[in-house]
Amino acid sequence: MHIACRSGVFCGRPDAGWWRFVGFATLVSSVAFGALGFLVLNGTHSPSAPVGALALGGGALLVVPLALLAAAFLTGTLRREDEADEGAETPSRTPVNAVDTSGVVDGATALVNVHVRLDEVVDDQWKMVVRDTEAWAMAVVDLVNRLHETSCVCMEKVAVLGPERERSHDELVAESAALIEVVKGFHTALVSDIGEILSQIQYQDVVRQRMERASVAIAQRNKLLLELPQSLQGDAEAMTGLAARLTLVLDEYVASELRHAPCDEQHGGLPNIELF
Amino acid sequence: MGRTILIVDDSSLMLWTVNSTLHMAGFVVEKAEDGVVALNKLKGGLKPVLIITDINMPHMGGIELIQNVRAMPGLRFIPILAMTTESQAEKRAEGKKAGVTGWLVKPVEASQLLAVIKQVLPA
Repeated sequence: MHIACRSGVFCGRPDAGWWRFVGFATLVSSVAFGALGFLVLNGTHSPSAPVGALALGGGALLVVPLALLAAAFLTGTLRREDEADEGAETPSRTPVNAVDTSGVVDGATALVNVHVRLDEVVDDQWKMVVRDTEAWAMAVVDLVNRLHETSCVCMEKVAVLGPERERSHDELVAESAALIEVVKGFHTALVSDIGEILSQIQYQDVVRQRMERASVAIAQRNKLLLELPQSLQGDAEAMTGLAARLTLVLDEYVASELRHAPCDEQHGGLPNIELF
Repeated sequence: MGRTILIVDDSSLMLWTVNSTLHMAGFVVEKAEDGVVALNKLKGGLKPVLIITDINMPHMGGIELIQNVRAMPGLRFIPILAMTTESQAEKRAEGKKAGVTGWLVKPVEASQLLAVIKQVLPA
């Protein structure tokens, strides 16, 4: 606690002004007492007037500072100085500071908790992405395998229609019709399987959007964390306000993920295809 | 020449995959990367038999596009399918209010998409 000297009344820690006042008062009083002693003794025509003046002046030089210190003790100035020193060493002991500090700590704790929670939620999303992309990759592999099997079956059917033996015209017409049916069937299967593979590629868009949403939430979180040093210097309200804003970022992110959650029709959810 | 379907999506990959699926099914496909581009194509005289649109897009989203299309005299009754990752009831209700014909949550299997198209398009 800084204590200043106001209108000659000392309050709190004696500062440079206080000591200047002591020095000035001592000097003035020494000169005044010395001059007074000289005039008085000179008026009596005493030959020891200069010595007496010096003695009085010197006496004042000793007495005045001591008197001022005694007055300071009596008025409590130096006692308050001790209290001020104690206060300076442990400012949190004062009730006002204790409330402020605990508020900032509470706010910081809330902030850290939300920060950790957001990380956990995003981490869960990453794990889901890893699991889903693995499943989608396996689905594509299955489709490619199915495509290969369809192709093999088609080739076997065509091989039966090979040119190893002589045929009549009617047989050739019938074989041509059968060949066309095989090719048509293969085309249909090919289109269907390629269509399903293309559908699987749509998952990239789903994952991209999921990652973009997480990325936005993390960017908002980081922007708020840049305000942390300022909030630490501020009051408890600034810190709890920061925690509240981060909670909002988390809530918005969770709500956004819910809006984009896969449909779970089997468990009473909405269908993934709905016609109105 | 096959019937034209307009697909609107800001994801080039989605445009490519849906285009391939529809093309293999015999449709002619027109592509637009957002609602503004789609609307300009429609105002420019494009007459699709169906519009398939994403919902969350830059410049103009799917809901706004649907509202604009429904306000165009020649396209008031054209079927419009929303194909989106938005799965919740609130957004569906918003789409329904705007005049969407059907709601498909991505990813949609090709067979499902073609079945829905068959259902909403007049023979």
